Order: sequence, then structure tokens, then C-alpha cells
Amino acid sequence: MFLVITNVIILLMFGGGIYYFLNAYSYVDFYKRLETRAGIAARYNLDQDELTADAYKKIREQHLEKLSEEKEYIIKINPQLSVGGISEESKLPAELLQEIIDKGKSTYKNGNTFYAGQTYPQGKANYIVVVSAENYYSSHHLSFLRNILIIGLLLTLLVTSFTAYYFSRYIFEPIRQITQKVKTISAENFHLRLEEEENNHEIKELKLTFNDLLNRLETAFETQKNFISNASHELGTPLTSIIGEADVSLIKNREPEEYQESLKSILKQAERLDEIIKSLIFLAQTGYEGKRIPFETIRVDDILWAVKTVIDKLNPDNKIHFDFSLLPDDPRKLKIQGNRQLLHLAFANLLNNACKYSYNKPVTVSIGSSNSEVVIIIRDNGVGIPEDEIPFIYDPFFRASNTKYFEGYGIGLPLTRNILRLHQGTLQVTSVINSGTTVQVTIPLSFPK
Amino acid sequence: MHFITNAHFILMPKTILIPTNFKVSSLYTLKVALEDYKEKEVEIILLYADVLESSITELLFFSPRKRIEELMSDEFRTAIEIIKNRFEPNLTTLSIQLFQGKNQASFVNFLEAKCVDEIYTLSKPNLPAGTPCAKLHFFIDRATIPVKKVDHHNNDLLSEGDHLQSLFA
Repeated sequence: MFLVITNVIILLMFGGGIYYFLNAYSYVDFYKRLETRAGIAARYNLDQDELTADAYKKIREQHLEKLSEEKEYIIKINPQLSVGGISEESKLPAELLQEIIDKGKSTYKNGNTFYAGQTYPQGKANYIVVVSAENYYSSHHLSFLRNILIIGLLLTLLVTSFTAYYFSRYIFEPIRQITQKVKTISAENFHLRLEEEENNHEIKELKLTFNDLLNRLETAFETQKNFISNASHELGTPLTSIIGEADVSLIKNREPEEYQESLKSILKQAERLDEIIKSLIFLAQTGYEGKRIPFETIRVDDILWAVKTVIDKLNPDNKIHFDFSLLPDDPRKLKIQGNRQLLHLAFANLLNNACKYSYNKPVTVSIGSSNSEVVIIIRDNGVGIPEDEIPFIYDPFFRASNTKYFEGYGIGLPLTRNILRLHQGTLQVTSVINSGTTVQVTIPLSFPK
Repeated sequence: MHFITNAHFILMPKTILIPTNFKVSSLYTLKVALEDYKEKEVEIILLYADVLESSITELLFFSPRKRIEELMSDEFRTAIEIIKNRFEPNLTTLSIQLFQGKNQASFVNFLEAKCVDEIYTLSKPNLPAGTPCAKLHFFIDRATIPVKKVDHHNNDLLSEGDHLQSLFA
């Protein structure tokens, strides 16, 4: 509506301006024409030289078209006769005559008839020469123009209203769709997303942002939903180790040193349990209450070494090798902002998976660093993941069809991805079945160049 | 005199040419080359064989820098940064150039102009025949300067995608 009103105002100003200025110009122009004609009329009527007078007449007839209702008045000024008298006699307006006598020349308009006159001295006598005519141009052309402008205005109004209506529909339709779609998304069907459009950039961005928001919400939601399962999975490993250690110690009577050793090991695992529990609580908190996880500056290689040390204890048969061939020269390029416990958990998951699903075949961990992020690549030679199942590996409890004989709950990878997301990192898994899996992790640097 | 020549030779950074197709896997050669010359200063030229358009407008607005920007993927950029960060001290310069020559002579001229000392290339570049890149490999095979062929173990496996992991093979 606003658009239509603005348009009408602009058009009115534009059309009205054209009409007004053209109208004003047509007067000026017409008076000039009349003045020229008055001059010529004086010449051929009053010039004493007949030859010249004839020549003027000829030119006048040949080259100057006759105006509508054109009349010539040649009046000899008689000092005895008043202006009123002349006016009555010649039927010319008295004001015009008075002004001609006073100023030498003048113009006048009466209705649609225009007058232009001047004085013309001839010998001793003085004449007034007036030419009057109807302004055909003004009366016809301008009214034609006025009609065109009015019709144009109405047409434009119609077209603008139509297009404004159409465009508002076109622009608001996607937004209406978004509203409808969003209304259908609830806790039960959190996986639903808005379909991304190709051509409408702004709407596409809005949808992307919305989907992104939904992704984060879904992650937080799922983390919370699966908290118990996640916790039991993550707590299982150290608990098994504690139980195992205690079992072995209780088989027979041992020396005090051996008990001490066992207790130390149990304590270490219990501490680890404590760490994991704390980390999981952190994760749940970020998912729901929005509490900040404490981040610190950490070296990625430190964490990886720490993870390897733990795995070495739990699974001494592992063959994890570090590939430092692309380790950056500058140690600052290994420092990231992160939570030590969470990242420890994430990498432990990835490395454990790599060892587990490859029957402890060699696993290579490579580290490199660009100017903005650390890249960690974990490559195994294990059973791989069937190609059509790769899209589902981040779904909680999903397990690939070829992993029946391996222990696990399908929690590790979603949890790892959640942790990496919290660190603004990415996780990319590529796999070839029966050949191996490669996991690429990127985490932004603390001090990007 | 002999001594001076030798000293000059030692101080000059070694210029190595590496053909690339703007795939991360092609940078594996770069990693091998830099590992081979860990103790020396090295100048690297990554060379991409390109076809020069014959249209007058294309030629008028042709800019090698823009063309290279266009060809580079994010992965490729990251891979180059990773390598630069690793070999920072001995990698003096790394430039990416386009080669639009059509015959062996133009390639020889290019090598001479850039003072290239050695070429590193994949032993099985796996390029479709008839492409400019394949042609470049043909020129490299006939080059008179030393050419080192590098084996890439996972070449077949990784040729499908262009992942950073092919750099770490």
C-alpha cells in the first residue's frame, strides 16, 4: 500500500510538472509567434515601399501557416480618440491597447484567444498593429497531453498495485511457509529441517541459519536425552578396569606392595571416572542451561599423547603410531582453546574405535596445522563402514551392519561430534569397506595468523 | 675461481618444479620434495598446465592471479598452509604458476627462465589423456634436468575425493 501511495505521489508530481511547464512554455512560445506575425503584418500593410511590402506578404503567405482564428488589426493612433473609443471601434481589449501605447508592445489573453501587438511608426503617423489568434496547440495538444497523463497515471496505479500485491505475496510466501513448517517442529520430530532454496538468497540464508539453530538445539536435546546411555558407555571402560584390578588382587593373598600397586591403579581409574563424569555433566550443562564450559589453551599433541598413554594401559596390544611428518615448526600452531577433559574424551573415543574396529591393526595419527586450524587425521585399516550407512553414523545408538561382533552402544561418535562442535571444530569420516576408515578432525587455532 | 663457483652454488636456493592439478593429492609430491631437501633452502614452483583461451575478450581480461584463485579449493589452500607451516625455515618461496605452452621448446624455455634445478612428479599421475596436464607430464618426461618420480601408495583409493588426508599418506 505504501509503495502504491508513494508511486502515485511521484507520478502526480512528475505528470503535473510536465503539464504545468509545458503549458507555461506554450504561452511564451505562442506570444512570440504572434509578435513575429504582428511585425510582419505591419511591414506589408504599412510599408511605403510596395516592393518590400509585397515580398513580405509573399513570404508571409508561403511560409507562415495561418493560425486558427487569426486576425490582424491595424489601427492608426488618433490623439483625439480615447483608448476606449479605439477599443469599441476595433473590438480589441482596452487594457491591451493602453499597454501597447504605454510600452510600445504588449500581449494579452482573453479566454482561448491570444493577442500580441506593437506600435509601428509610419511617417508621421503612429499605428498599432495587433494580431490575435486561438492557441490551437494549447487548447488541443495540451488537453491531449493531460488526458494521456491521467490515463498513464491510472494505468501505472493499476500495474503498481498489481505488482506490489504480487511481489508481497511472492516475498512473504516463503516466510509464511517457514512459519508453517516451524510450527510443525516439536520435541517429537526435532529432525525435521526447512528445505533449502536455491534462488532466493535472503530466504536461503534465513533457512540456513534456522536449520543451524535447529542443529544445535537437536544436538543439545539429544545429548541430554542420551545422557544416561552416554554416561554408562563412557563409565564402563574404567569401571571394568577397576573391577578387573580388584578381582585379580583378591584371587590370593598378596604382599602389601602389590596391594598398594593395585590400589594406585584403581585410584587412577577412579580419578578418570570422576573426570569423565565431570565432563559429561559439562556437556549436559552446555546443552541445556547454556553454562560456559571452562576453556583453556591446550596443545593438541599433548592431548593425543595423553590419550595414547591411557589407551596403552587399557589395550596394550594397540598399534597407534604418530605421524609427525607435517607437524608445524611453530609450536603455537598446535595450541587451541578447549576443554581438556572433553577433548580427551573425544580423541579417546576416536582412537579406541580405530583400534577396536581394526582388530588392533596399525592406526596412524597425523597432525598438521594450517594458519587457522589444526588438522588431525586418524587412519585405520579396519572393517570400514558400508558406504550407504555413512550418513547415519552420527545418530545415537546407530551401529553399522558390519559391527555385530564388536562391543559398543553407538554413542561414542555422536558424543565426539558434539564435543568437537562445542570447540567449533569439524569431524569428517571417510571410509572404504574392508579397507579402512579415515577420520579428519579440525579445531580452530588459539592464535590464528 | 672454482671455489667461488662452488660457494655460489651452495648459497643459491634450489628451485624445484612440481606439476599440480589443484588436487590435494598432487601436493604429496611437494611434501616428499621438501623432506628430501630438509637441510637446504628451496624455492618451489607449483605448475598448472592451462589452456589459453583464443577469444579476444578472454585474452583481454585474462589474469593469471584470478585464474589461480578460481582453481584453488579450500582443501588445497589448507594443504598448502599445512606444508608451509611444517617446512617454514627452508621453504623460501612457494609460487603457483600457469603454463600455457604448447610444445617442448616452450617448456624448456620456461625451465630456463625460472632457473629450475629439478622436477618432482608423481610416478602415476592418473591423468586423462589429451588434457593439458597430461601433456605437461609428457614434456616433463622428456626434460633434460633431473626428474624425480614419487610413488603415492593410496593414489587409487583417494583419487575419487579431494581430502586433506591424501597429504598425510
